[in-house]
Amino acid sequence: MPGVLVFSEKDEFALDLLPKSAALAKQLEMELNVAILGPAAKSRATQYFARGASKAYISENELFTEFDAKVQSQALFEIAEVSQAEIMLLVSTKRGKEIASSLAQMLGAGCITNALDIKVEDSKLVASRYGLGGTTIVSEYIETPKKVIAVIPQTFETIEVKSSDGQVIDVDLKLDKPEVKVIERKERKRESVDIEKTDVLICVGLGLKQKEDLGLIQELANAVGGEIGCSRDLASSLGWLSEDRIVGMSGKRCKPKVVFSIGISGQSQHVAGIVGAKTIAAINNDKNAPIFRVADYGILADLYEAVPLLTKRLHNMLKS
Amino acid sequence: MRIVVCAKQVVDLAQIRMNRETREPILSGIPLIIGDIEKNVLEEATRIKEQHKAEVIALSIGWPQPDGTILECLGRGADRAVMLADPIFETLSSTGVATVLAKAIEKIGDYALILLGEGSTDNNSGQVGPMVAQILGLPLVSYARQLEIVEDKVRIVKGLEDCFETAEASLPVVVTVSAEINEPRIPTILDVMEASSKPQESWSLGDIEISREELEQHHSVKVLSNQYPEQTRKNILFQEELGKSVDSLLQNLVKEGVLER
Ligand SMILES: Cc1cc2nc3c(=O)[nH]c(=O)nc-3n(C[C@H](O)[C@H](O)[C@H](O)COP(=O)(O)OP(=O)(O)OC[C@H]3O[C@@H](n4cnc5c(N)ncnc54)[C@H](O)[C@@H]3O)c2cc1C
Ligand SMILES: Nc1ncnc2c1ncn2[C@@H]1O[C@H](COP(=O)(O)O)[C@@H](O)[C@H]1O
Repeated sequence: MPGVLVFSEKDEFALDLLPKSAALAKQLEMELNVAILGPAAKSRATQYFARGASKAYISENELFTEFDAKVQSQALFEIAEVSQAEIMLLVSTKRGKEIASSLAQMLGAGCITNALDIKVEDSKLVASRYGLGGTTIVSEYIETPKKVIAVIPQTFETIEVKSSDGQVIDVDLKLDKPEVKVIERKERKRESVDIEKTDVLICVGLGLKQKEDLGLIQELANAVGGEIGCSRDLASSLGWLSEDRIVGMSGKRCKPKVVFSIGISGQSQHVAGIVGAKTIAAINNDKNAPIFRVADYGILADLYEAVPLLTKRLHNMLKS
Repeated sequence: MRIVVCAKQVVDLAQIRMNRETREPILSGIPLIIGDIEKNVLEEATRIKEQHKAEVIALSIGWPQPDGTILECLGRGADRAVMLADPIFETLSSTGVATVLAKAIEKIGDYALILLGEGSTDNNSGQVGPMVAQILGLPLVSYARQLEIVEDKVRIVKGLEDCFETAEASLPVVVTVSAEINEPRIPTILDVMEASSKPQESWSLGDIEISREELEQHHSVKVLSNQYPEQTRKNILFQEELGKSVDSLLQNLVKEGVLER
């Protein structure tokens, strides 16, 4: 039976994707299978069965101890063959995108990465993703017999799991040694903030003149009990805040009750991270800043005047 | 050492407007410019050239003809450039773009380093780099934030979501770079003047021995729609005296129940 094959280099992401994949496989009358690579693959399979997988194609080959995109895509290529997979559903992490692209090339398959959603329409598998740098939503489908789609992590609702059985198939893979050698790995310093969960998000951008002025933003955040997020450049080029706080297409997608956008122009790649907010309030001193076109409320002002005043009023308001 | 830089021409995103009836982007008449990440790619190639003996060749495929992008590449340090223009490129999927790039890279020949962006400014799919590596049978190192040539190897710091990895691979190699890798210089007037006198070539599909039929196979991803998302924002701009504006904002936020009193 033709199948849907789900894989991620991280179990948790593959598991998140499984319930949705199961629903799609059912609609397409296909079997839902998974690939699990690396140490303890066999024992990891139970969690996959609990979320709807029929068969787990596993390999504990020692080449998987270190991640190598080419080795993994080669493995998936072989598993796609033995499992009769027509649709490969992967997770659009940075590594996942490397795997998806290499695999698609090997399979001669069309490929969609950064999918925001997938659904079956007229018996076609239709995926949506951002187009034109986050400005638009593109809806598209793949025409080749085999299809590779990588979905943004944690896109779908998780469901309750029920234990269930499946078949473990240990595949003997013919793999080439990796060509790229990893010499060192440094874990990123993780901040304990979780800007995706906060109700009030204060987003700050390049309207800020110097790092020291972050104090103003912090005082506002304290006054409303919010978390600070930022535009990409403030973190990645200037390094004033950690990259965990970047909001947008290449950062976090947030759904707070309210976001205060401060000194941010509102370019599409950033806005993609706040469209899920219930209310958007923006402070900018440029009347033509695009952020005003996507905001509910805007204040046309210098942030250095507006933010302290806002903080003061909030203090009074929340005290009374 | 020969470095090939793949540069994509994109529409100027800042100038696109929405058709209010169809919610589709109005693309006609919007200027085509070089992508943002391409500037980082060229800066990195130029930086390598300043340290090692290297020749930088820019490669761009597109439709309409990516000549503006090619000129920009030459102004940003490329020594010569190759472009391919054909209407078929307009709807080509990533596998097709990668196929054409790989063929052109083979024809350029004698390459040590092939540099691409980690994701293009418009699509940001991140597919083309890995696909080019796959077709050429070369090692791939993606998401480079630091790049160093050490004898016949590249040493690269990759930025991943949860870690930084230092990776090493032998030349020739395909590398995709992240925006964090450098701060692109702004070309001087002299750079711009010199650019137009540098060698440029325009190749056709015949030059890289690829048939139209073969490329037709790569129209594998079909777009059903491309629209601005529904926008239901209020777009109220307060521009009174600042104190009043702040009060109005807060009153509204409280009324909506998004701020707890
Ligand atoms: C592939 C790709 C992915 C990207 N992903 C992301 C992403 O995930 N997140 C992201 O944020 N960006 C992303 N970007 C970058 C994005 O395109 C913009 O460059 C970035 O968002 C701009 O940041 P900014 O608004 O802070 O800066 P700017 O665009 O420089 O805007 C600064 C704003 O501050 C205002 N200002 C200046 N002084 C004051 C003052 N005193 N008071 C009030 N206002 C003031 C100005 O009017 C201006 O509107 C991405 C880009 C690409 C190409
Ligand atoms: N038409 C093109 N011409 C030259 N290079 C391209 C083209 N399309 C994509 N690339 C390269 O591939 C990178 C990633 O593009 P993408 O896979 O679309 O995100 C770009 O930054 C370019 O370096």
